[in-house]
Amino acid sequence: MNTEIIKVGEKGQITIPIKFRENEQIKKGELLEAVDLGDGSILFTKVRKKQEFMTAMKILGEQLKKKGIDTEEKIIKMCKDVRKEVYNEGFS
Amino acid sequence: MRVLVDTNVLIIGALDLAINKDSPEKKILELLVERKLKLVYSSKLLEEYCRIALKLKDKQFSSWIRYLIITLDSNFVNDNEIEQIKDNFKDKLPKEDLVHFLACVLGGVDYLISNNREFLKKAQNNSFSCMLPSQFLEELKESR
Repeated sequence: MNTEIIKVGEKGQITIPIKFRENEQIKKGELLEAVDLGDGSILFTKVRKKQEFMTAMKILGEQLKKKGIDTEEKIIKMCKDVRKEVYNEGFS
Repeated sequence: MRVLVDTNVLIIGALDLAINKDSPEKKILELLVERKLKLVYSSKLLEEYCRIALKLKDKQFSSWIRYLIITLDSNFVNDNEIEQIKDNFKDKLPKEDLVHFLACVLGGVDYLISNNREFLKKAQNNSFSCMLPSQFLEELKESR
């Protein structure tokens, strides 16, 4: 196991040491899941492809909840409206 | 197995994921991600998925959804092919639903899965089955 000391920036940013990024093949734009272990440790894990899709869907679901579109009826109505909107923009 | 997953199924699945509710829609998302289903889609269907993501969050999120959908096990149906046959089916369905029905025809789907009962009823045909998510999962269970 490798350890490195890193400094937290003004807005909470941290830089993952290059050695770790290379070892774990972490590229720019890649998503990491941060888990607070509650004992002063934070665990970062690469979000894998399958997980990435489900994470995106979960975020979408949370937005629905936040905006009060939280029943099947409301969603079906929204989807019908969007369908009409997309169709009316023209069939290319 | 090839399926066209209507926008309402994907979005209900997303809500159920967020509220941690087990539902047929959520299960369908899992099957897509596990590549047990091949998603058939057209540019219009993809646009609907992304338009909702845009309305709910922002452009960057919408682009992310687009990227994730096209990296699923999927089969894209070209707009030109749809355009070529649409007149043959023009009285079958409302115009805005027709393009999705034709994507099913051209994409050789086994199932059209939707929560829009009206759409399912009008899309009934001899080439593929039109079902609610719960009916689809039931049939999938029986076929195994």
